[in-house]
Parts: sequence; structure tokens; C-alpha cells
Amino acid sequence: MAEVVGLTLWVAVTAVGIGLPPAVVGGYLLARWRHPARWVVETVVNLPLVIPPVVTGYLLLVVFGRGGLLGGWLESLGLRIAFDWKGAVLAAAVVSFPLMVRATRIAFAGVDQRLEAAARSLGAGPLDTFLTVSLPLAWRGIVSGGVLGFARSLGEFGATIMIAGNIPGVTRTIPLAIYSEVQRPGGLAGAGVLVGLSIGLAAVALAVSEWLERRERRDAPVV
Amino acid sequence: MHLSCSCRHAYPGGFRLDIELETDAWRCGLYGPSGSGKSSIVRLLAGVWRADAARVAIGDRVVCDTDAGVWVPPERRGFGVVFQDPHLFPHLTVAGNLDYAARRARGGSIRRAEVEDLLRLGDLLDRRPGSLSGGERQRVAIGRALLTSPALLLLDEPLAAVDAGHRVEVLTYLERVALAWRVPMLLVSHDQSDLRRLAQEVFVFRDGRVAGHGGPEILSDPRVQPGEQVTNVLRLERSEDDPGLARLGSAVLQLPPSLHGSGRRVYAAVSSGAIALSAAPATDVSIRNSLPGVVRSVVPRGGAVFVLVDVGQELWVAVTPSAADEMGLHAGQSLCCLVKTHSLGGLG
Repeated sequence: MAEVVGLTLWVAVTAVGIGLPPAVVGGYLLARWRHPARWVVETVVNLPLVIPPVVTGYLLLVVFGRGGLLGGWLESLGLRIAFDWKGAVLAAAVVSFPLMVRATRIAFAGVDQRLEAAARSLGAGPLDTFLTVSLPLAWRGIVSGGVLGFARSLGEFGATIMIAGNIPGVTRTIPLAIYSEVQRPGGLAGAGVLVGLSIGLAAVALAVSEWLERRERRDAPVV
Repeated sequence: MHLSCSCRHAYPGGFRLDIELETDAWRCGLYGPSGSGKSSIVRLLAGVWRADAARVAIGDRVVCDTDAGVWVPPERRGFGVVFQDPHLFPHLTVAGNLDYAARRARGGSIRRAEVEDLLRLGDLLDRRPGSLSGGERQRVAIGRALLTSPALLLLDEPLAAVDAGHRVEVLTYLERVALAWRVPMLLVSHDQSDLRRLAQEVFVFRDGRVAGHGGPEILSDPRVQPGEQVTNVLRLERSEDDPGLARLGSAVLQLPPSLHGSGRRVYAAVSSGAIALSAAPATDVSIRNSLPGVVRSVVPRGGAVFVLVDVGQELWVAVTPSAADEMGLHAGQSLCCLVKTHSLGGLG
């Protein structure tokens, strides 16, 4: 049990660690970019939100599986993804990425662009302005996006079972453990504890996210 | 300082901007109603907006030239900008906001201690921008822009978000800044009194064009200003013996109680329609103030004739066409301007 919970938390934290930085950059670009082709990028980014996770998992397998487009090459470099905890992380990261992009995009859209213009007029370059003005003003939204991505990663099942399988101690996270438990005769009761844990973790994550957003609204400068 | 700026731009709605301006004034003003193109020029100068065709140079440094493909990004122009809303960074204290500019300053002679002292920012340093009053915020924004030792300070309606009680205060600080560091300033305002106080040369904008430019007296020029009447501003010197009297050249004017005060300089506003002309010094009338002068020009406009009279400074007087005919008004003619004491008002 401890092993399952530990693995689940590890997978979710790593998935957010990998997915959040590009989500921050993507969210910023989508919030500021006014190009007509924006909707194409936005659609692609949001796709994992609406396609069945099993389909996402299938596509990941096609790319990262042993005989996949990149899988063989990566394995020759010593990086095995399929049927490894790294596969579970990849699945969680891909599925939670759109949620994190969405949250960061909204956070950056709430940053007054005129403050960025003021920073430029004071001698700050674009990267300097991003790091010293945009990022600090959007950080609560970014953190709440990370928490949301974390919660989504905790519950990832469909894509994970496709790319990472259900290997005890390696890729069996809480949702997979619940599934395995229920498959066992008389396992319904045993699954109950894991279900409770799962709900508890998700609820805490959501509460943290909500609390951060409320604080953000309260601290928002009056314009 | 020599600033030259030309800008042509067609907006999607059909509004066209076609501006040429050249100035050597250290304190230059742009005046016009909102939507006349003033703010576009500030944004062009600041480097946050690109026009269809534009060229901007300060001294011999070109910061934007669409023909030559020159575009210096805002952070390398060295222009300080103070916007209508102060745009202080809300996640930093006042000190943090000032540091932000000071750390990025490229050389320059304006020192932090002097700025804090002159703008009286010392007591505000630990405060957050959200807890400051409008006037205080604008003071911090001016200080922040100054700390970059700007080659040009752009002030885009800096007093619009400041309540009436603090306008004069902020204006006074701007005057001090102008005197202390001789920072070239470009002040954009739709308020005549701000520009009369601060600007040496004023460009009047109308419908995306420069309708005229010259000293602050252009703000009273009916050839440039629309509207039935124009406002003259008399620069008077208060009598040492009687606070109710003031001198203009050799003439002495009686001031209304609202202008009784202590300052040596008195600015009195009077509408072109509130002044009467008399061929000879008037006796037997209630009007107390008679200013002898010479007609400089006669400008018929609409249903009125505007007469420019030099009484030691130039005054615009509006008379009816029939009065102009009967008096035979012409340039070079000597006459008297009669100004009712109670038609004199304060500025702004």
C-alpha cells in the first residue's frame, strides 16, 4: 500500500515537474500571441483533454514503444519508457499538460500588459520583463495550475495502462491498484481504502488550488 | 534637445494619422481632444506601437525609421515614460519599484537620493503601490522614470488620474524636475492649464493632424482652436501694496476676490468674449480695467471677428462683424481693451 501511494505521488510530482515549465512558456505565448494561427496551436495543446486517455496511450505507445518511432532509438541511449515508471510519468504529463497550459494562460492574461510595457521603458529586455514582472504577477495561477496537473496525474489510468502497463512496484499507481484489486474475487472491500485515499488526495489538491486562486483575486491590484 | 517625429498611419476604422513635429523646446506639449492622435505619438516614441510609416530621432540618434528598417526596442531607447495610470509594479514596494529602474539605468547623472529628496519619496519607500494615493503613485512613477536618467521623459496625461486637489502638487514636482535636471519633457494633455504652466512649445492636435504649434499662447489662438470663444491667460505681477491689484506692462488691473492671494505671479484667465474694445480710453463705464494696445491682426471666423491686440502681451478679443466694421478694425490700430474685473478667473 505504502509502495503504491509512494509511487503514485512520485509519478504525479515528476509529471508536473516535467510538464509545468513548458506549460508556463506555452501559456505565456498563447496569452500574448495574437496570430491567426493561434487556434491551431491551442487545439493541438487541448486535444489530450478531450480524446480518450486510452487513445493518448495508444499514440504514446506508437511513438515511445520498443518498436515505436522514437522508442528504439531512446532505448539505445539507455532510456526506456514503455512499461517503466518513466512511461507512467510521460502519460501523466501529457494528459495533465493542457490543464496546466490553460491555467497559466489565464494567469498571464490577467497580467496587465501595460506593466510589461512600463518594464520595457525602464530598460528591461523581453526575457528580463518576463522573469521580473510577468512571472511574479502570475505565480499564483501557475502554482494552482501545477496543483491541478498534479491532481489529474494522480488519477491517470487509461494512457498509463497502455504505455506503462500494470506492473506491481514499477508502474502500478493508485488507480491501477484499485482496478487490480477489484479484479480479484472479494477485492471490492480492499479497493475501498485506496478509493478513499484517492479521493482524499484529489480533494486536498483541489482545495489548495482553490485557496490560491481566491488569494490571487483578493490581492489583485485595483485598476 | 532636438526632437523630430513624423508618423503616418491608417487605422482600420478609417481614422488617419499624419503628424510631423520638430521641436527644440526642452519642455514640449501636445494638446488636443482625446482621439486626436496624441497618445499614439507617445506610444510611437516609447516604442510600444508601430505605425505604417514613421521616423523618430532625438538629436542625431534615430530610434525608429520604417524606410531604413530601423527599430530600437523600448528598453534601449532610454526614454522614460509616465503613463496616465502610474503602472507601478504591484508585487514590489515603492523602494522595489525605484530599484527596478535604478538597476537597469545605463549610466546617467540622476542619483537616487536626489530623486527621493526632490519628490519626497522617503516616507513612502516601504509602502505597496496599492496603499498610495493617486498623487503619491504618480510621484513614484515620475521618480521611477527619472532613475533611468532618460534622454527624454514622456508624460502621457500624467495628471488625468490624479484628483483635483493633487494636480497642482504633481505639476509643481514636474516643474522642479525640469529645473533640477533639465530632462527634456514631452507632456501630453487635454488640459490647457497644465500645458500653459509647463510647456515652452505646444503642438495642437486635431483629427490626427497638427493644427498648429508655437508658444503656449497658441492655446488661445482662434485660428487653431475650435469653439465659440478662446481663453486668454494674462500673466500679471501682483502689486506689493495691494493684493487686489496687479500690473500688466504699464496698466494696473483690479483682481476679483478669488484671485486675491500672496504669490507674486498671478495667472488670470479671461474669455475672448468677455473683453470689449474701445477706440478711446473709456470713462463713464463700470469696467475698471482698461489696457491700451495695438491691433496685430483681425481674423473673421464663423459669426465673429477675432482681434489680436498687443497690450504688453497678446490678447484675443471676439467682437461682432458689425462692430468690427464700424470701428474699422485693422492691424496697427491703437485702441483699449476693457476687461471686467469679475470676468477674470483662475487657471484650471
